[in-house]
Amino acid sequence: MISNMLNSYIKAGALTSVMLVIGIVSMHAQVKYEGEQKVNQSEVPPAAIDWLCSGFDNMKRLKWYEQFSTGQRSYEAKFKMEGYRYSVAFDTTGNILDIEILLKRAEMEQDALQAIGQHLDANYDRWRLRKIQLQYTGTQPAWDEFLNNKYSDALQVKYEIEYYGKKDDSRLLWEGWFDKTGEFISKRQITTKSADNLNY
Amino acid sequence: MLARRIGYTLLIGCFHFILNGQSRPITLGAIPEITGSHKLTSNWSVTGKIESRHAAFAQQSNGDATGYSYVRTDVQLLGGYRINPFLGAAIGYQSILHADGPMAHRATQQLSVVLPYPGYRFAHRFRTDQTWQQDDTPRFRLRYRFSLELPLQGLEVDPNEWYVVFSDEPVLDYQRSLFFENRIGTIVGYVFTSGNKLETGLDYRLERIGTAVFGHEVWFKLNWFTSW
Repeated sequence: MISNMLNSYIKAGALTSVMLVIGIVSMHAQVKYEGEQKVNQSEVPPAAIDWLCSGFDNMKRLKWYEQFSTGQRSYEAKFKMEGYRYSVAFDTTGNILDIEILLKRAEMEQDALQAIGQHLDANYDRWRLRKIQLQYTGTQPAWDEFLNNKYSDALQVKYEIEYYGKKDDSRLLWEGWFDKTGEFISKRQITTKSADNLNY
Repeated sequence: MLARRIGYTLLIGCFHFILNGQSRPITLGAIPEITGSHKLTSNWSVTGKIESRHAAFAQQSNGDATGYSYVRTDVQLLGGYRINPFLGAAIGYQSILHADGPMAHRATQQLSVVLPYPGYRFAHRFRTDQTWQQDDTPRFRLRYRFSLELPLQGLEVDPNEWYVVFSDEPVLDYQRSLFFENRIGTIVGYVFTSGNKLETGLDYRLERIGTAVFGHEVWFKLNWFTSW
């Protein structure tokens, strides 16, 4: 009986050791780090907080995130206001970079939506929109005007669209940028994160 | 704050077990696992899994109890096909090496859907499997698992971040007669790199629900996921 117990412990120990060795060797692979992490407001540049509070009233569920992307860092404020989800990005010194607002299909300019649909029809066999964001970018004078009037004609307007596109054997997720009339600007492929723990 | 969230998750796992009383057969143990996946092409992948089951304590309904026993080791190989970014199919073969008794052979087929949203991912997995063992009746199972993955440090789970997964899996099991089983999982995970994550937590199983041999199994799981 003692030798059976010893055999069992040896089997368990051997399996655990193999797991640990494979894990440690795998961990040393070099990978590009891109992502975001929730941060406390105290970690955000004060200039960004001041700008946000001056630009927006009645923010609800405000959360701050630090974004990392190929050596670049930025801060993003996410909140809800008047039924819309906002993301406002700032650089590390607190200067505003852009404002993004999550939209439903029905809330888009329909002419722009039609132009985007025509572009996707021309480039894919099948497609489906997953997320639509209205994006504002601009120069410092345009942002100053926005702060004073809560609006500025000088801000550039774009649509950031996340969509699924099937072309021949390719079935991929894309992030596309279109101007305010729905004219295509650029796109990049979205890499989905590993889901082995959910699949197997 | 983070430690508190992890603690609450594991406590929820224990809570399911405590609710159901102690008068039924019960097994407590551990299942260490390693799962390795390799992408062959943009759509095809192969996944291998080794898991070993160790019972630390087992009590029968008549009160007879045993201490540690090695139960079995499973070696599984699956071929996966990605139908689109959210939907995948897989088929596979599993060898079940029992501590006592002949080896069993299992064929597996599954469809899984993983849907990402800001702040969470949820997954549906539909699985059927068929098991054959010498001198025993074949066993057929139909399984559905719902999983909810929540990042603990951002809107998505990135390297060097923690997450939790809650899952529930009802299982319809037929071997000479029909049985029903339910498995509840509460898992805490950590992503070391985009290809390596470690999960640990509790897998609470209600076996053969509604029968005279209805019992509980509580398995402490430790799973290393690696992909390249």
